[in-house]
Amino acid sequence: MFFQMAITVLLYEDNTMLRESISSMIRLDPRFLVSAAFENVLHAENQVAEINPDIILMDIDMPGRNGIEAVTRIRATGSTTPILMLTVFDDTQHVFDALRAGASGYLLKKHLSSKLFEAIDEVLTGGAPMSPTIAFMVIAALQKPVANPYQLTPRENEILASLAKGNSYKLIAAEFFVTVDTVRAHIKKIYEKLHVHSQTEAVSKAIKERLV
Amino acid sequence: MKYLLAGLFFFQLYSVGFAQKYDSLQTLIQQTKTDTAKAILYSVLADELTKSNPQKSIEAAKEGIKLSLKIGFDRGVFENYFSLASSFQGQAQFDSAIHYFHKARIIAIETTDVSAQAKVYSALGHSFMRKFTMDSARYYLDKGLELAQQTKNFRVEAGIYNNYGNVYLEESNYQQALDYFIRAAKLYENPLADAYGQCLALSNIGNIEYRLGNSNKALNYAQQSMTIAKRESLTPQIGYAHKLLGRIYRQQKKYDSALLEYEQAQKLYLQLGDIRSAAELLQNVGNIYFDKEQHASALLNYKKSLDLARKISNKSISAFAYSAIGQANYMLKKNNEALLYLDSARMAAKALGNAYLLMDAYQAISATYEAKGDFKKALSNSQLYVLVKDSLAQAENRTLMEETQARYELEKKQTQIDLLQKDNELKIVEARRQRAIQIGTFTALVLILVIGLLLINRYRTTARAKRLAEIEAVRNDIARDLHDDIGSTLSTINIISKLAIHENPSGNNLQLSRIAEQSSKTMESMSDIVWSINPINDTFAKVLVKMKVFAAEILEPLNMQYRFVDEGVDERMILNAKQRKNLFLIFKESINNAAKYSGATELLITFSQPAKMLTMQITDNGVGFDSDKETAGNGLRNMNARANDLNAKFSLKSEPGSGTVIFLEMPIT
Repeated sequence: MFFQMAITVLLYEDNTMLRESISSMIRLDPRFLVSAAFENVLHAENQVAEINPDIILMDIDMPGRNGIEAVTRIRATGSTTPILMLTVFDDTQHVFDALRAGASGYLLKKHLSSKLFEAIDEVLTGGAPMSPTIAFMVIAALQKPVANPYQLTPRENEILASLAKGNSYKLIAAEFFVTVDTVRAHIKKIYEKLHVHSQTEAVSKAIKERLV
Repeated sequence: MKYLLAGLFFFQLYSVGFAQKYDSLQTLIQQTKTDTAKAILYSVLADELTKSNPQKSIEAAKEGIKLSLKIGFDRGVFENYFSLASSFQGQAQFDSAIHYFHKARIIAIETTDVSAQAKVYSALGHSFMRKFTMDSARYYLDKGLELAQQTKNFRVEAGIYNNYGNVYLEESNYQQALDYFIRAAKLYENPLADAYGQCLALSNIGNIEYRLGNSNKALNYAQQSMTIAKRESLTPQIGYAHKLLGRIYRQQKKYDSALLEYEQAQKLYLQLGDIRSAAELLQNVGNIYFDKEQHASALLNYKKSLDLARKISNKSISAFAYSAIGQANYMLKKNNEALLYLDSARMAAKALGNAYLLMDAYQAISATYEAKGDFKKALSNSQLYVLVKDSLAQAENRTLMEETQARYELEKKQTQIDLLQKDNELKIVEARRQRAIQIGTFTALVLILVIGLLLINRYRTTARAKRLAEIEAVRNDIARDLHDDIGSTLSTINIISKLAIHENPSGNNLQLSRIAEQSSKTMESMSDIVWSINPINDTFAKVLVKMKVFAAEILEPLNMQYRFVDEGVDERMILNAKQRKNLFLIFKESINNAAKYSGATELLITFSQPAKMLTMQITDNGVGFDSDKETAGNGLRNMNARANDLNAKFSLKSEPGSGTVIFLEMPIT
């Protein structure tokens, strides 16, 4: 029972030491099982289809093919497996691009040892955290009328704006007289709207349009 | 007193008759003991003798001057100089007259006797008028008139009007002359009520009418003058009226009436001892006989005139007498006699400088020689006549010529000036053009230079900016690459150290904990550095966002309330890498300290932007500490160092039990 309940994790990380460390760390928690750990994403679509993990941890910057492209390819296969991006920076276009490509959330590497399990839990429950920088990028992206079929609700816009100013979920909740969970739910909706394009057939085209 | 005394004598003097005046005066002078009175009497005597005995008149005046100078009697000096000058004027010696009038004038000025000055100016004007120097005459008359009016000396003013009249008369400007004589007449009538002056003015007006050929009008004025003169027993004026009537009758060719008038005038002049007038009158009588072609009678009168003129040594009257006698003799065919007198006339005329008289003399001499049959001399004299005539005409023309010449010269000069001016203008225009070109060229050069410099500067600036941007980008890239690389490694170290602690939970894991902590801190620091050098984060807004995220991350798990207050800071304000790094790190240190040590429940973070400054104040309601005694650790030192790096004012104020206030004021450029 115990083992059947385990959450299977698929890890992509080019740094061997870090890959092994993360694997070791995950093994410490009996709730999780590292199904496999790869040093590149060249066969990610097949591996995901074959292993069918509960969650994928993916480094963004990898040689050969980067995490964003891998996310795109995985999503192109129709997989909805949550993908948590691992990154040193949260203020790059890469993170945002990965999110739009279909990633479910991200985790800063400096927080790996302290927040990994928390982050996995959040992604699995659909409440991935969002940094102000990403919120800012979302606002900027969604303000472009082109290829924006899913307009954000006014409340979502307000929350994004507040988030972009650096306000925490708690502060935002206080600001709009709602609970933190409500804020989290809104963020989740926003993520989903970002993911919309990854779930359509014209993913690459949509990305191209958005990048114009 | 002295004047009063002299005045008394005058009164006595005028109370006696004219005939006895001369003798009485002589006697008076001899009897008078007072020198000042004596001096005045000399001048009175000199005036009396002017017409009858000019020589004695001059002597008397000179005596008066001598005496006055001796006793230092200015008034006496003035009066006698004036009399002396008048005597010379009477004798047509105008230069001498002017000389002594000037002497009188100096004394009048020295004694600041304005009335006397006016009188002298009037006299000087008269002298110059008689010299036919009309401009000078007018000059002195103008001065005299001004002073006379100033001192309300109507007598002198009237006299000056008379003189003006004479000036215009000499210039044949009868209308103006008449105008002035009338002015004089009015003044003499009122307020002066001077019969003498009135007579004089009336006869002057009559004289003008006579000259204008208005015989009837002239007669009228002459008779008016006569009536007043007779009523007031003004003998000289009666005489003059008779003389004027004679002239008018002569003009009307009423020779007998004229002779009658002249006879009466002559009688009066002789009675008055006015030899000069008598001598002049005899020539007028002679002229009538000459007109009547009674040349012998004419000659007789002319000779009588000459005798009288010689008696008073009057060269002017003598000269005219010679000429008249010569011409009468010529008419009487006494050619040798005629030549003798005419030659005298010629010499006298030359001596007097009277060109008209000289011209007449030559003409008469020529005619006489012709009559004698001496055509050669007739011709030579005729030539001389023509010569003088021409020279006279020339002299007359000269004024005109000179004027024309002067005008021509002036015009020539003006033309030259105009030319010069035009030349100058051309030069100025040319110079301006040149300058404009120079300025233009210079401006163009400067502009080119400036534009060039600006372009170079711009190029350099853009190049520098570009290079800076490139450097920034490269730096950013390097930092990111490093961070990406080292970040992964540090994460690994961090994870491994934690794994190690986990594997041996009962052991002493202090060193491993330190490794975990330090690796975590290093990642944090690196992250901050990378963030601060990223040009994307160059605004205050971005710094604020980062601060808020950090505050939330640290304070929210501790349930510490915090509030950011922005008191009007421009969110778009640009902060450079150093500024945003130090500002953020000071903030971070403060928040960390508050979180770790203050035990506060609330934090207030305030930003404001006074002129060219940015302030940050972090206040907590924690336990505080004695900031005077306790020296904070590395934290405070670091904050101070970072503040210094910003040239900022930094303070930390705290007291036990009353929280902590951290204040930073940094300059922003």
